[in-house]
Amino acid sequence: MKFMEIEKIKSAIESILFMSGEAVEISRIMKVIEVSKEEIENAIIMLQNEYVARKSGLAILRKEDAVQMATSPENATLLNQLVKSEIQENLSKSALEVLAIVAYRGPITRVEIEAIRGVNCSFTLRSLLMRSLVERIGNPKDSRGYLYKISFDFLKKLGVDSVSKLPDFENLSKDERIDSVIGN
Amino acid sequence: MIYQFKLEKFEGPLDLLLELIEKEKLNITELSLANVTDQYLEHIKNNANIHLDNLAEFLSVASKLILIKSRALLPMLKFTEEEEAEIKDLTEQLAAYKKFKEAAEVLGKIAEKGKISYSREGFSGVKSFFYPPENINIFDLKKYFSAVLSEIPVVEKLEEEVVREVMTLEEKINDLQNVLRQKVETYFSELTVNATDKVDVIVSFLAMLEMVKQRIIHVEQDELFQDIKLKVKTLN
Repeated sequence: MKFMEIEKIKSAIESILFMSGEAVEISRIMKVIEVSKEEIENAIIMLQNEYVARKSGLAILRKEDAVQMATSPENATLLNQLVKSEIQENLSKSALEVLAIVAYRGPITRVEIEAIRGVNCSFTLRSLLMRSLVERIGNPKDSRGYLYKISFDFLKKLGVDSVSKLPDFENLSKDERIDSVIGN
Repeated sequence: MIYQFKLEKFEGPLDLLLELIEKEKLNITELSLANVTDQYLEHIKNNANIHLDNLAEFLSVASKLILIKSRALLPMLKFTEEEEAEIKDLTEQLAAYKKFKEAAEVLGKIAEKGKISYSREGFSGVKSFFYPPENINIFDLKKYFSAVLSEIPVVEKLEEEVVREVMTLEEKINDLQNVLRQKVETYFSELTVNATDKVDVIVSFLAMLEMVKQRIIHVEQDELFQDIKLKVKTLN
C-alpha cells in the first residue's frame, strides 16, 4: 500500500470513472492506485457529497461493489431533448454518403470509409449507429476494430431484403476506384 | 489515410540555411545570408540525392542567395524592385521558419512527457433507436454512392519522357583530342558533320574554345564565317 493524500485519491478516482464511462469495480480501482479499500470508499463518499453540495451535473452512482460516473438525474429531461435532436436531425449529405458506402461496400471498417471519403467519419458513423441505420459487428481480422454494415431495419424500410438488390450493385460494389484507395 | 514520412537530413532549403547560419552563430540578416551562400551551394553540389521534388526549392533559394551575395560583393549593384522584395521575403521567411521550428521543439518536449488528457466516446451508453430518414429510396443510395466514387481522385499516369543523353563538354574534348591525335589537323565542319542537332554543334564549339584556352590546340579562321582549322599545338 502506498501513502496518498485524500485529494489525490479523489482526483484519480474521478479520472478513472470518467474515462471508463462504465461501472468500475472498487477492486480494480485499488489495483490501479494502490491504496486501501477504506480510503477509496471514503474518497467516493466525499466525491458524492461534493457533487450534491455544488449541484453538479455529474453524479457518482454506486451499486454493490462497483461505481460509475453518470449525469445528474436532475438533467434527465434536458438530456433526452439533446439525444432526440441528435437523432431526428436530417441526415447531412456526408451522412448519406457514408450510408451509401456502408450499403454498397459493407461490412467495412471505419478506416476504409475514411480512406474513401478522405475525411474523418467517426461522428457521422456514430449518428448513423444511434439511428439504427447501420450496425457494427466485431472485426474477425482485428479484435480492437469494428466492421460496419447496413441494418436490416433500414434495408426493410428501403423495400429490399438484401444489399445485392440495390441498383447496379454488382458493378458499383466492385468499382476499382475504391480498391485503389483502400488498397485491396 | 496513409501518410508517408520521409526523413532526410534537411527537410528543405530553409532548414539547411538556418542550420548554416546558426552554426556560424549569426543573426538572420542579409549579410549573414551572403556569408553562408558558398556553404549552401556546396551542400547542394555534394548531395546528389536531394529529392527531385525538393530540388526546385533548393535551387530557388540558391538563386536568391547568389543575388544577395553578389550585392554584398558589389555594393554598387542596383536591384529591381522585384529582386529587392525577393531578398526581403527570404529573410522574413527564414525568421518565421526559425520561430516555428523552435515552437515545434517545445511541443515535442511537451509530448514526450506523455501527460495526455483522455476524452471519451460521445453518447456512449445511449440506446439507439430506429429513425430512418423520410423519403429515401434505393436510387438515392445509388446516387450518393456514385457521387462518392466520382470524387475519388484518379492517379494520372504521366507519359514517360525519355531523357536524352547530352554529351558533356569533357566527353567532347576527349573526342576532339582523339580526332586530332589521328589527323593532327582538322576542320570544324568535319567535326560537326555527324552532329544531330544544334546543341551538339554548340558543345563542339565550346570544347574547341576550352582546348584553345588550355593551349592544347591552335585555331585559324581566314575570314568571318569561314571554316575553322584546328591544329594540335606543337611543343616548342
